[in-house]
Amino acid sequence: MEGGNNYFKEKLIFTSEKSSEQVPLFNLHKFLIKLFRFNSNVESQLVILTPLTLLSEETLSYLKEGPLLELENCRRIGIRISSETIIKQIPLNELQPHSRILRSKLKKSGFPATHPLEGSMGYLINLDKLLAGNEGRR
Amino acid sequence: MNNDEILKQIESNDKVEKDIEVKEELFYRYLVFWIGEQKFALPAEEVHEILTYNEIYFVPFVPPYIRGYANRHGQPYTVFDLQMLFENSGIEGSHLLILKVPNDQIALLISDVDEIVKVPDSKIYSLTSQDETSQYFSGAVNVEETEIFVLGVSKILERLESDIERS
Repeated sequence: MEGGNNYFKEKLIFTSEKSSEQVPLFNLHKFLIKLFRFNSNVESQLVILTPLTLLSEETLSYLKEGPLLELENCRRIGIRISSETIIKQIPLNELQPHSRILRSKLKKSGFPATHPLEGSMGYLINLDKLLAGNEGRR
Repeated sequence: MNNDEILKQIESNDKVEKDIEVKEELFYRYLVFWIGEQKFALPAEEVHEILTYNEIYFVPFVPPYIRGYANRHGQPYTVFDLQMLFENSGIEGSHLLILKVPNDQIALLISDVDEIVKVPDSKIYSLTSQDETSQYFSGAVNVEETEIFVLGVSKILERLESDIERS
């Protein structure tokens, strides 16, 4: 993985006549491509906007001390995701816990469960943990 | 034949059967398999299933001796590459041993299955060496004058649990 805060290099800027807002972007798409070591030519032109109030104190504290020093003045962060993202309802019984020996490690790292289907293995992401985890800091 | 003779006969048969049972108990079945160029064994009752050509899905944040997950009937099985653990070089295996591990879903990546053997108790040995690698084995069996190490799965998982947590 590249060093520095490689996944927090961009911002969205919203301007109006009365005010402007800068929203830092976390490039989740790029992060996952590097983490899972796959090649992808898919663009990431979609952004999920998340109010900072949804993040834990631990994550906010890390972001303010690390990659997002200017976070004091922000109300939201953006999560950049794949342009091929779809919205899909997943029944809870399709989610499976990790194998016991990996469960604690992966839960702490921001991947609390799996979604195994025929010919694929999906992962449920806890974005808050992912942002605050050691890997998300690189 | 009177009653006493019949009873004696039954008792005698029973004794013979018991003798046979005792002799059979002295044999144990092992699955012998290849990891790279080396043979290993596992007690047959510890192996649930042998899968071939199963896709392995990458798992992040774990040491390299965990090759990923296998998806078996919609359940994630952690796939261990023991050659990576022992020798720091992975195998190009295509077979998976699905193990019977209480409360967990564990698979071993192997190169190939060799055979299932019946080993007499007299050919099963415990290891005397206490070096790092021997900690991963429960003992050895002698099959056709060849010594084959028996993997100690519970010992392996016990030793690796904290390593995985720290990785």
